[in-house]
Amino acid sequence: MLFPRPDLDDVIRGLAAGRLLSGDVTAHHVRLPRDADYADFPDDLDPRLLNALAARGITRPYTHQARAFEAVRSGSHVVLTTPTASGKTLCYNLPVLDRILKEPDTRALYVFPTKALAQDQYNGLKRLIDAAGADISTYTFDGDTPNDARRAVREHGHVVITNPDMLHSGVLPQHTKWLKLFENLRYVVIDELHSYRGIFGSHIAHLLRRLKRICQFHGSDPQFITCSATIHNPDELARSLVGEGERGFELLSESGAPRGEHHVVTYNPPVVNAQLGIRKGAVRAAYEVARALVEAGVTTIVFAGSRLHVELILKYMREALVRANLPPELVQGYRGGYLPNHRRRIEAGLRAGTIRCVVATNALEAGVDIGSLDASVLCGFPGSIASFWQQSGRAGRRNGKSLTVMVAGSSSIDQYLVNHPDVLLGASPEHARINPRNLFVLVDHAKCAAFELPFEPDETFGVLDAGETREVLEYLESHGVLNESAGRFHWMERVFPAHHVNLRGVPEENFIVIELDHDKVIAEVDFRSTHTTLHEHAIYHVDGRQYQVERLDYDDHKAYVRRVDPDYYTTAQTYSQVAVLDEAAVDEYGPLAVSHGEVLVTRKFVGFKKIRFHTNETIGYGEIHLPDLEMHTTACWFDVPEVIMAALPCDREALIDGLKGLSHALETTACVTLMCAERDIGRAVGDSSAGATPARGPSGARQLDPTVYLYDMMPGGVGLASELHKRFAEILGRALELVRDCPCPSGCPACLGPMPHYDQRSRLAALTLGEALARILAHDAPLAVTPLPSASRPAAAPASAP
Amino acid sequence: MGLLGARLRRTLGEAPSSPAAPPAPPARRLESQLAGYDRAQARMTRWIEPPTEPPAPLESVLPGAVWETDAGPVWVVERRYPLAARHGDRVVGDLFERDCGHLERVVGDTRLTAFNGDEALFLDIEATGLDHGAGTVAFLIGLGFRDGDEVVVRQLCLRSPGEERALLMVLQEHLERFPYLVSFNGKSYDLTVLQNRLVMQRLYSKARSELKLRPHLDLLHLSKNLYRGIWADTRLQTLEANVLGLHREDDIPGHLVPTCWFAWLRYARPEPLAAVARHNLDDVLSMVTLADLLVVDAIPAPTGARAPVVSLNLARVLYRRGSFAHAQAVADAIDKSTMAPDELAMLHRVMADTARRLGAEGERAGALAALVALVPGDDGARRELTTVLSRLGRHAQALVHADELDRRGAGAAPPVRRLIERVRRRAPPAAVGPTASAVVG
Repeated sequence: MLFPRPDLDDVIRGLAAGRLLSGDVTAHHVRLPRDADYADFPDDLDPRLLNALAARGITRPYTHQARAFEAVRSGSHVVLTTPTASGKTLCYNLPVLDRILKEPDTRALYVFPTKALAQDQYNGLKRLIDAAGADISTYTFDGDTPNDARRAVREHGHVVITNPDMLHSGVLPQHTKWLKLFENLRYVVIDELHSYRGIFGSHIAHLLRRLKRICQFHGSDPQFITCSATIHNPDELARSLVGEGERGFELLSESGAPRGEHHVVTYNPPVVNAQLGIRKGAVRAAYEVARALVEAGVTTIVFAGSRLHVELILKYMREALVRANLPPELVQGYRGGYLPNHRRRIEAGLRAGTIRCVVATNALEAGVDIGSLDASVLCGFPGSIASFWQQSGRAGRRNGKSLTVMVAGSSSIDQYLVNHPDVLLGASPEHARINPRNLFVLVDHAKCAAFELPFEPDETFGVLDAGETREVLEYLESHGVLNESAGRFHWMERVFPAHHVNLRGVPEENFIVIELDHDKVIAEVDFRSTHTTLHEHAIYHVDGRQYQVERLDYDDHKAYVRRVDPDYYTTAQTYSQVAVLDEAAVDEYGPLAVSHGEVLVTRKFVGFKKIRFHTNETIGYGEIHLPDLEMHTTACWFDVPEVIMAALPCDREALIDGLKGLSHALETTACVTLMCAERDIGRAVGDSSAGATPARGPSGARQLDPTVYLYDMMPGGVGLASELHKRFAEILGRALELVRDCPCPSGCPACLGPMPHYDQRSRLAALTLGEALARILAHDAPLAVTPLPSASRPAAAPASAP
Repeated sequence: MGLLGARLRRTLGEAPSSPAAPPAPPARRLESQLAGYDRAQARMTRWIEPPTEPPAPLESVLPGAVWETDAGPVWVVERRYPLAARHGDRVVGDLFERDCGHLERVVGDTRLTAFNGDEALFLDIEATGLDHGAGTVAFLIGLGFRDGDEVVVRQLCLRSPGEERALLMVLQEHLERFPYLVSFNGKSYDLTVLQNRLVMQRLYSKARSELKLRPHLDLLHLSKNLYRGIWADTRLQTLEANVLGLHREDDIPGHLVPTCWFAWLRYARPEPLAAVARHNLDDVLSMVTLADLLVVDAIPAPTGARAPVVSLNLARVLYRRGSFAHAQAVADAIDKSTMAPDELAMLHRVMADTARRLGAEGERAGALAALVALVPGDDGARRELTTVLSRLGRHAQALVHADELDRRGAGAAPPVRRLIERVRRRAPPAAVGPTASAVVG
């Protein structure tokens, strides 16, 4: 046998005692095992279903399954938030199938975020139906459904399993052909509800309103059964996605399923440069943890935040295996775009022991079943508490122990959370925010809805009232898209609107990556990643191998690469400019104005760095020649007027650096305060007096009114900006705490963010400036600003969590 | 304008001063049509600009009458033609004199057994897009039928989307009056769109309006069967130019049709709507004369008037439909003298196939022999010929073709090898030796 029998206890003891690793284990949290809670099946459950369940050893349902059945039967909409592997699918399959057996005209629509999940679900449902010997037709309906099969799906499918994109462009616009479904639609099942957040969620909210509108036309009023991973506001999210109705939502969050003992360890890699406060990189550290686990015989899944990190860890792991004379195939990569067959091979390999470790992006986070593993290693905080628990839950068995190790990265949020593990482990998971009032989304779906059915006079659309709906429709009429006739608005274009609306918010076509030597396509890259990963001379990674981009054909969306074996990789350097389009609200505090509104963010690609593998030293630079990317979104911003700057006892250069550092701290605490992912908020420092030019000018040579922008990373915004604006004082207070409490002597990446160099003066400037702003906010104080004693030297020890 | 409206205009942009230009025409093939397209495009550009003077009333440009229905009014434009009137080179009333009993056999649809022109409703719609979605509207429905000694073309025009229900109710009245539908590509387009519209207007019921279940003669399908391979395609306008003798002047190209209706809706300008009605009128009349031509060309018996290649196509379609005797009769009568070699080969092929189905092995051998003489490389036909000759006891002839198969290397396949060996065993010794060219069928 290649590997010792895993002794997880031993590994956990070693980790907790700090024996296995050289850094700091900042927390060790144990979730105790729990036994199953059973209930009884309803008396009138169809005996065929009872038999089918008994055949797979299920004689009694868990309590949450029984409760779900009752809730569905009572007629209310349902939100389920029980954990992975708690038997969630039975919660909706049982009541739906039972109803179809009792009333065969009943129709149900299942919506999964991806084709792969829909296919998984189809297989499971089909097995249950076959085991019950029931005459129930179920079909997947997606882009792969052949044309000649579509008619059968439309006419005969009791349960149609599809994805939002297909519902959007293949079902709703063709609703006249789906009479049988829409006249008899009783259940709509929406799984992975939590994935419908941000701009995607905003689209889905409208899509579901369109669905309900069509149902109403055909005389049905379906019940929504939704399932979500643990988030802060599952019922609120369900309500805003589905819309309020007379049925009301019932939230079921108590699971009756058993679970094993689960250990969570938070780990901060060792400091390698005490002066600069630099720790060993998370990629390296995660690799070391994973190697230790795999060597101890523990099957492990490693999650990394980006494809690059996945590829790096994969490469390091495989090199280690080769050094140990082991086959490198024991470690496999897994990320978006892997085909179902590939996935099944990995799953089978894990079961058979021929695969010991999977290195994955968050593509594996959602519902896809790869079986259960002993341990998960998180390379960096995954960006949200909900994701943290999802990834952590990938390791876990119904009985027996499991382990999660979160390896903190160098980012402020990672450092903040690893040093305040109570926040990480005790915090409520994030709010899932959507903004159905996003204008882009709203207008797109109003068009699609008008194509599907003319708008009646006084009809309301989604979150809009009748007056607002009319304003949107009149706007579209003025563009010649709609025609008003007797108060009704009719579609008046020859094009098919759904084809021009992409729910995922990435309308641009993907790039393909072509290997020159074999003239073979080796990968596909989405448009926005192209700018940072496929610029000329970039090192592009696939499956642990490196390729250099020789030529990027931007117009044809092709990148030509050649296999190389470099000792470095590349990262792109970008910066963003912001221009205000429309100020929605402004709060004035004496000279300080804090605003929010609509902005145009222009992302520029300036160059790239070559970074040596393993040591991470920068060994060279290159230029990137690519067009800017523009995004229309919402932002919260404030100017620091010259009067404030002039009154501060710092020189101009230090103040600019200080402001940048402070803005970084603001970005970090904005994420913590709003409980949103780090990638959801962007930051830029600009000069409002000069429009959208960057802040770094000749030091002190001209008058500057620098502006700090915190913007919503979703095109059109999902509502973060107004929230930031509302809670600005609180966010500023926490940012000051973050800088003040950081143990570094003169600023570091964790408090002031990345800077060319750190010195005492910029840290002091950041504090002085921040405290001046805080005082103005608190008291609208006159400008008698003097340095505060607390700002003059670093605090001795970290303070408690904000 | 409310707050939201103001935000929309600010962030998504003001309405353009004039709507976007009409879409570019599809790639062009024929030089001579370019000028026509240019003229249509120029008119279109004029029509989609805001008018500088008040538009003319509809009835002055597209005279018609308001029909009242339970669902409100609908604008109906009607034109009547004596049966002797001409459309292109053809007479519109000819169809109504014809016996159409044979169509069922050629189309392969028993619902058309009693098809006749008098009970047929010709239907052609103009719609807002080629898409089949719920938002594609049929804004003009052209109907053609015989009324006494006249041919009537009745066009139901949607003056505004609000009149759609009335329009569809008038359509349904017509559908109930006439048992047979005739269209050009209606099976996949016109009827799909109309069925969607009936659903949208809540006029649909499976029993009453399942349009696809009605007896329906789709002229596109029949044209494809009878005229395939003769011209570049079998679009209606191609057929008009080649067999109906109609050359449209200043016709609206199909891809501009939706834009015309939008221009009418936007500015109440009747000219674009009238242009579409003119286009649709030609379509309906062309369907009437095309149907007559197809009925004649589909007669499953020898006629002198038919081009040889049309007869060949007819024989092929009759064969596919199982009418072997008719297929043979049609094929036998074809004048082969003017046919191209590939057409001749196809003719011999279909003659061999019909002979096989009729059990006429001698004729089958004759057709196959003619085929391999024409296409010596057709090993499949030669193999079949060898088998038939052998079965007929014409061993010497069979041997010639077996040897030829062997010489060509076809014997590498085991079944062919076995055939060759069998033929050689049965051949009389005296016959062994001569070269293949010495004996023909």
